[in-house]
Amino acid sequence: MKLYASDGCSYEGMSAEVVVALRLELGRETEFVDQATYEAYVLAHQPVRE
Amino acid sequence: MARTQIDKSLVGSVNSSSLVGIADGSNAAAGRVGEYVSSTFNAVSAGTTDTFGDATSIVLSAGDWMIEASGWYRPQSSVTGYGVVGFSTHVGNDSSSLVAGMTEAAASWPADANFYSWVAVTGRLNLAASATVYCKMLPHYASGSAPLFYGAIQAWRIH
Repeated sequence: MKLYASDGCSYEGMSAEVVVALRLELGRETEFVDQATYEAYVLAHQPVRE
Repeated sequence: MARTQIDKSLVGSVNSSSLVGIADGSNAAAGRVGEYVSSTFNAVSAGTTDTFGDATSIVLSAGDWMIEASGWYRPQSSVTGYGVVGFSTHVGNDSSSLVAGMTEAAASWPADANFYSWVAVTGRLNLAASATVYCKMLPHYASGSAPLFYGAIQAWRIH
């Protein structure tokens, strides 16, 4: 199962509880979002190719 | 009916052409060779110059893993610089166990804020116990805002 966070991070192969704990250690709150919301975020924040 | 436990190893050769891979889009189960664990990150601030930080992290159970840490650095000012990527079990500003070419790599960028600097390293991590593995990042820049870092850490159980 793949998990998506609202800040554009994704996680695969780990439970939601583990992901929340990992992010907390790095000082990041966790809001999980669906794949479409995640992809929209990534699209909006991807590096601009100039 | 009583059963007798057989505690012997089978030694022999396997014809690689007979090994069957998956074809349904799934991953190998936890603990099986081929298990896959990953995390991606997007536009993370690389932080203070010459200081290690953590772009993201994953948890791996005991085992023999191949790990790739990779990403793009995007400088935020038109000054030369470089970025480091690596992986280790040490959190924060800690370069312990980072070995150039094995668990750490670096790439530079010119004085161009529109440049993207690709950096990646692939190596092995053999864990005797479960551990958190961090995708390390270190930017070097003389002025301006911290570069942004886009990338991933991926791990495959290989043995």
